[in-house]
Amino acid sequence: MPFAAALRKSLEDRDSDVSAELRRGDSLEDVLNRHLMTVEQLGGDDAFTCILLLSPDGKRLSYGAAPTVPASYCRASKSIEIGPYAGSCGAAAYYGRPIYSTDIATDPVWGNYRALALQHGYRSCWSTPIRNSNGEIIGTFAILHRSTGMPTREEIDAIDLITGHVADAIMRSRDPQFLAKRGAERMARAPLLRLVSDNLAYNDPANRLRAIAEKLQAKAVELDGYADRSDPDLLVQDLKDAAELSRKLAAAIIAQIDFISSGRRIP
Amino acid sequence: MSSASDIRALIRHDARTVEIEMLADDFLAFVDAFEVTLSDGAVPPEFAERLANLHQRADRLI
Repeated sequence: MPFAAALRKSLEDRDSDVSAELRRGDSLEDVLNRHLMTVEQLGGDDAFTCILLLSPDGKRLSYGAAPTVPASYCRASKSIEIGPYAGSCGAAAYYGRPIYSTDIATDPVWGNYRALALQHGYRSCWSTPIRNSNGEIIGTFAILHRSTGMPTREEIDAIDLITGHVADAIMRSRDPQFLAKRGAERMARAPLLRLVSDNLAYNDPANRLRAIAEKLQAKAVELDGYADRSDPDLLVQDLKDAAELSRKLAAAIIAQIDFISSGRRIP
Repeated sequence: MSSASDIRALIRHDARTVEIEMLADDFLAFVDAFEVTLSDGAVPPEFAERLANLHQRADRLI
């Protein structure tokens, strides 16, 4: 089967799986990784794909999925401020159009990340903005290569196709109606599972809840520790908020344990 | 042996617990997903976005 037709079919197959995957609780990263692995399997040995998601303030990109890009590369570029010299993705988000860097070694777009890319053996990168249904940029999709070069017409069409499918998956994962439905389905299933399960923890909900409350309390302490060690400019308040939420959830769970133990009705 | 009405009552009474437990599971998974980055002393922008969503769910529930 020709590449374009094979890609179209594979992505359509993926589309039919996305809702079920999100409903059963798979993370968006898991879903997007499967999309990208599908693309890479068809794209040959010299295609390393990644999806970066734009922050709500529209200023920074962070990794949404990058199944075969080395962790050391992702760590070193984990939060990219978009701009004209912020690599192909940072520039694509900044300008709102595809940026095809045919030679990373000489392209000014790679000013801030050139050394990192070359150290990892990447020589070209084709990045395209991902847009939601309102046309707003929500991220970028990129293909890195270990060779220099410009995409062909067929490859540009393939990139557009992939970007559209990725946008659909991201929007589906963020759709409030979908999230509410998923929550309701999980809620409807879980109590019935408990009634029939032979698992000791499920047969004693208080044990399971106690274990979760202990984990939450431990996480709160860890989050406070991260906040104390973090650079004050790097959103320390978010870490403090997360620690507070962890404690709040632990307290709510302990209240539920009391309810289960006493057999009182839920308020 | 439980009657059908006992089972229905159990399910109904358990609903809020399940919802809180689901939120706690999601919160723990969220912190785990960012653990490596956080331990490096950084907080990525996506952290704030996802934390805000969890806060909203908690505010509705608790």
